[in-house]
Amino acid sequence: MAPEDQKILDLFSSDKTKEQGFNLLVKRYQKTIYYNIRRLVFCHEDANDISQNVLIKIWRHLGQFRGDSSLQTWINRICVNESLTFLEQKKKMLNIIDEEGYNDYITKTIAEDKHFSSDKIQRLLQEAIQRLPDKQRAVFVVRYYDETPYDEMVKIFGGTEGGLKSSYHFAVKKIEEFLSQY
Amino acid sequence: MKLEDIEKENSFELPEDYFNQLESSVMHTVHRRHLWSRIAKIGTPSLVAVFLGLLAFNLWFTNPEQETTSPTLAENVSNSDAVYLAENTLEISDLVSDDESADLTIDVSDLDNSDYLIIAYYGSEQASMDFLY
Repeated sequence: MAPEDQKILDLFSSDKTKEQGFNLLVKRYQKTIYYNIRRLVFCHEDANDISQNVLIKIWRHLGQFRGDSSLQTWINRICVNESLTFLEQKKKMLNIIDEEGYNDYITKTIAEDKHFSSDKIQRLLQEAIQRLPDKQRAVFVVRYYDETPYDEMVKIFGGTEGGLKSSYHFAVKKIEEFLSQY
Repeated sequence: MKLEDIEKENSFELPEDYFNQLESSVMHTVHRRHLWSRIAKIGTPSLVAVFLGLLAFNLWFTNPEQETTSPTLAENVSNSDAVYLAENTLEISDLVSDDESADLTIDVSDLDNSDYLIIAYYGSEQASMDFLY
């Protein structure tokens, strides 16, 4: 375990230094948390809400962290689970029942988002990522952007390394197919 | 187009000073929660003690057996301190029949509050009283 993570856990284990330890964690991981969530839900406002929820959840459950994985993997698992739950609820709220309806919503959201500024290819890449099924998108984001090893990804998503490799492979294929249309 | 041909870049823009605001907001929430949990940790045993105390008092206060242990008949108190106390306690002084002896008889048949007899009892260390129940 990284010495910084060990320091966080040591401080967090005492009632007197708990807040200090948590503050270190926030400083160290808040950007990772935010960007991982943002890549999954795209919209800044949604990513902000989920990031706050994730950090509060970490505060409540860090005492139960047993060190079976790295702290970052443990945090990533919370990010992924919270984001997937959020997306499911959002689809229900927006009454989106089919894939086509969700894709239209994504195209519109990306076009109108004021917190996204980039060239055409990056915009298309984001659209391609957002069009992936939720869990496949999560697998893609964690592997592609964080370059998380597959054995660590198993601790986040469950299943087998082979299954995750296959999921990532299909995600890449879908993205390249989407991009080839433009 | 291959994915590896696309440069990995962060295209997401953020409001100015966003991460400081996020940190501050989360730490504020966490501080409040921590404070309340500490108060609850310290306060709970005290509250339980107060609650149990009140419960015990209430049980004692409403215990019907208390009435049976209260003196309801005239008592003979053979002690000069008790005589003095009874004669000088305004509420029961007129119940005392003084026959110029060391013995004191207090007729408590009309006395609602037996506390005064208890005062007399505790006021006289050597009192020998035959309480009739």
